[in-house]
Amino acid sequence: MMIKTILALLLVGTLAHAQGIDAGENTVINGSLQTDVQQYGADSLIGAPDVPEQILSNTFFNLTISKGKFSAGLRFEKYGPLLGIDPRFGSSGDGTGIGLPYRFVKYADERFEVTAGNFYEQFGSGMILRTYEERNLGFDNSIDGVRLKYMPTEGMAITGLIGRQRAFFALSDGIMRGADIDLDVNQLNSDLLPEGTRLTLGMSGVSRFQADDQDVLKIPENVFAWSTRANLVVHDLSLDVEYAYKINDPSAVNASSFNPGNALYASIAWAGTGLGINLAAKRIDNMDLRSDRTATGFAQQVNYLPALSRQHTLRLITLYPYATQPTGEFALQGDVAWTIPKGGWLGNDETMISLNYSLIHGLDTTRTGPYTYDAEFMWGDELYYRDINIEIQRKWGRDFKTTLTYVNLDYNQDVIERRAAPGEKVYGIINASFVCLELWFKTAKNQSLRTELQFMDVTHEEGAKKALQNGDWIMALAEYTVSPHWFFTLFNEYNFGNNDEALRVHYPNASVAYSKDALRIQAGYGRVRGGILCVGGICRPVPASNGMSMSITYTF
Amino acid sequence: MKPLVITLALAFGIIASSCDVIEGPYEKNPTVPLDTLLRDTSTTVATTNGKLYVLLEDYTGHTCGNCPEAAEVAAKIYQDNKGLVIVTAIHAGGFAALELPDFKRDLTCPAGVALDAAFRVSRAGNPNGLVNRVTLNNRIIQGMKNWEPAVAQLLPKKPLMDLALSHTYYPDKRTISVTVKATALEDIPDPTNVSVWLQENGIVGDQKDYRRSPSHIKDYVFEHVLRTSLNGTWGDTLNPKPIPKGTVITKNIKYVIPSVKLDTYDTLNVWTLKNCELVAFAHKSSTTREVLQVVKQKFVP
Repeated sequence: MMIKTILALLLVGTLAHAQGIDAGENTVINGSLQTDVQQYGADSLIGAPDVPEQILSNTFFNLTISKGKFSAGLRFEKYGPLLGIDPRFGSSGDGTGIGLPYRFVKYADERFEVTAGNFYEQFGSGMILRTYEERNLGFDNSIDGVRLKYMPTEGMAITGLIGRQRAFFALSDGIMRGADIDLDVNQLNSDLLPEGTRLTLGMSGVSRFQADDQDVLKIPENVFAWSTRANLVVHDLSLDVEYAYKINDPSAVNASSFNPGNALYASIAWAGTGLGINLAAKRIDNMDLRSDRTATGFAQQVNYLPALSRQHTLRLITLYPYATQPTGEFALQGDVAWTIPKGGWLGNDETMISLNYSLIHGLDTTRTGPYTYDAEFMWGDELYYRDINIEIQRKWGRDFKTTLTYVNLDYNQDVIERRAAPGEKVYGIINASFVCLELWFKTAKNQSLRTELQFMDVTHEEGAKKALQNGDWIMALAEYTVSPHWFFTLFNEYNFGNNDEALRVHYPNASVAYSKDALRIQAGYGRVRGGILCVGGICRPVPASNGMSMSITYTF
Repeated sequence: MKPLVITLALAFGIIASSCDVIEGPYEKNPTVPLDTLLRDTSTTVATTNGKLYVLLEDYTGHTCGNCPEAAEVAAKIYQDNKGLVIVTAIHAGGFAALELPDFKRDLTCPAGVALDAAFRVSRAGNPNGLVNRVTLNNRIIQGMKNWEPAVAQLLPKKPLMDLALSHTYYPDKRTISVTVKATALEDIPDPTNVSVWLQENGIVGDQKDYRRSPSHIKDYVFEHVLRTSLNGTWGDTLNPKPIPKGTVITKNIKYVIPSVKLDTYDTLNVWTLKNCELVAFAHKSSTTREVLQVVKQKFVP
């Protein structure tokens, strides 16, 4: 029945040609479909497991209907689940991996908005609350409950919410309550601030109730967290500060620590003509907040602490991405982006240079009891991550473009991938030097070729254990585009410097994609190395795989 | 504007007041120094007697439909090797989570959850296990098909130490008093810890088994379920530095059973002591936590 409905809607969508279906009387229907299918062949050499089902797939189908001030929506989800996605998507609830875990009705006018059902919300930068969906990581922490938003006057928005968080195909044990106020001072009183100055302020509170079900510890049933934030812009200068605090919240993640948690983020940015500079610092101490104190990994996270480091997208260097350590870290980052205008000393085309540096250390802590510790404000000796990178982009006329990227990073595999007990050294710190030359050619009208040549030199600490995919790598990629419909991609990664000679293997990939209007179909074959998949600083280990894959997306 | 400010202050006040700040001590029943008289006076001792015993940790869960097969593999290895392999079933990870109303018996315990997180077993999938926590074929986590070959490879080896285990239970104080005596049979180069576990046999509950139809088995019998570690996830230090052949070290470990675990009205979570056994094992203190020797004794309540 569900499949028939989907097909019928797809058909209607194709006929409609435009985004959204006008169902008459101001009623608009929007929707989207995404289905990812992966075939798995066992490949013991690279650690690809034997999957009894051989083919797994995840499917998402969104539907929203709006009429005037009312809207309603739902999302159908079907999980295989693909490897790397939390297996509880396939086992929780009724255990079928199929359901409608997201549905809502909403009323919104100029001053007032009410949502009943599932919703996504973010207070400030999300330090105490951010619910969002990142389906490629198997992440969805929407809240099922009620949310009210009230905008009494221009420049002021008040939000209140209560509900339970989604836990795969069930709901979390804890009840979440929250409130937020956002003020835009310029809109509230345009005469208050000097010209060229903008100020926004905000404050939030979040509280969780979860019954005490433990024998040993005096568990706080109500855990409260608050945060406050300010953003000030004076001409070209912008300043951001946010502070969050959480009362004692002994949990599985913080090893039953009764310490309060706190997080401080500050950043300053300056943007002039052709030059932008951004400096940021962040200190986190025991700030993991979940709607269930027993949850670990990705489950039931309430707050969001993004990584203060550049998220690399070039394939080889994504082997070593940084993931925020919510139990404690001190991070610094500097960014410089410089555009050298055309017509200057570098000739008739623009050159863009971007330089980035980040340094992340653990906090210096001393245990004061079985459930408490002291933490110094400044960072401790233990390095978690260091990254310096530069990217130079240059156009050479209209038909040729180059991008050169260099990255040098230190990656503490024990801490970031939780491969060792605190303070223990097993895999140690990995140093990677990475270079990529990207070339883009226009080959004919509406046709282009893009190539990437990547090389990564990896060194491991003396005596350290080595993960499966260690050592030096090289990769070549070619992508041919025939606009607007066809995309052909070929690439091969080669782990030529693996410590184990048997693992010096190639990881070939080939895919073709066809895109027409809102439909995109991609099919391919790949031998994919295991590793860490990150989106927005949130990372998940994904096992190696070897097989065909297909993905279809469609929106209407 | 004024009513608005009041409403706002009220809203924040309500949320902020739902806040339970706990002052120490943080334990519900702070551990009192145990009566020094609660000594282990037992003369019944289980020993390894110069033979190497092997610990097979079977990481499992009640909604893991492939796990019963692994439990059978473990049981067969135990039978085939005349008890030289000691099996522990550690319920942890997503498959061990409660799923009401059917999978209602919580067989996890903090030590098991911590071990699962440290060795990343359930992240690799269940069923999976550790055989003496040794690395074979480049991996520490072993699928059930590898258990038999791993055991066959380990058993002929000479042990580095002998272990002797005895215990006395004081029911009125709910206290288990355990003695572990380690004798170095060779020079032991690595610092070593000793862990003592309590595990229970014959627990009846719900389990998925994909070999059956329907796959939901209501009266599955769980064996060797890890109930608790008597001395934390990683145990106590046995020898902090290398020791020469012939050294004898004796450890006494006391553990008070939480009263709720003996509450017979809580039929889902009560421990049946007469079905329990104690497992003591020595393992490297750092890095691999490799198990050097292990001994088991039937618990006498």
